Amino acid sequence: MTETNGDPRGVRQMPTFELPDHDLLPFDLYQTLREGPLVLVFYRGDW
Amino acid sequence: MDPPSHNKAMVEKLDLPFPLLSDPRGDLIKRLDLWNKKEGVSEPAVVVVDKSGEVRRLYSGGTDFSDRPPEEVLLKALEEVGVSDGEATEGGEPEIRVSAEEAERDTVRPDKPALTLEALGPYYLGTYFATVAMQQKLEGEAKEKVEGYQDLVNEYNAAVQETTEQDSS
Repeated sequence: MTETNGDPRGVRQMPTFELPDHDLLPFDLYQTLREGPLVLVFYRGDW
Repeated sequence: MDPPSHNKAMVEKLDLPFPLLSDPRGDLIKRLDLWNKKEGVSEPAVVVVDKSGEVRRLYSGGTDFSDRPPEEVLLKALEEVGVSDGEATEGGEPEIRVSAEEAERDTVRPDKPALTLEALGPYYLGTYFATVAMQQKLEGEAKEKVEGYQDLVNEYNAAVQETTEQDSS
């Protein structure tokens, strides 16, 4: 387990990105952040 | 990393109340240094981002696909971010952009079938008994780690049962 606080692997600021969600709608990180903080969970795929 | 069609099936199967995004080639994953080169998949990771886009916490299981943060670690991180909320910023033009068509077409993830909801119960039960057996053979830090996994398995199993009951009612 690697846990970092504040400077995770040199990334302090999230890059801007737009990725499609499961309904094929574009998800824009910074637009979504206007509504509040969020948690991004990365996983390997179907389980 | 899965295409949107797989993600939609997953959202429906598990009644997920949040969106599942596709990063088919791992563009964002690589940018965050969370790419597992050996297996060609993402490391299991949780990133807490405040309103300004600042990464407040990152937890990665590295190459251990079963290493996830327990609920209380996540809830605590969220509480902290909720209290000291940053200022919203304009992100501007996305540096990483993937269209739905690309995501459906370009996935580099190895093609492995997903477990069905019915299969998940026995899967976690088997995992639970494995942790019980290991607990008896281990000591110290290793034993504590196995106990952590056991708690996770119990959390997951309870969630699967709840979902199964919701689906059948």
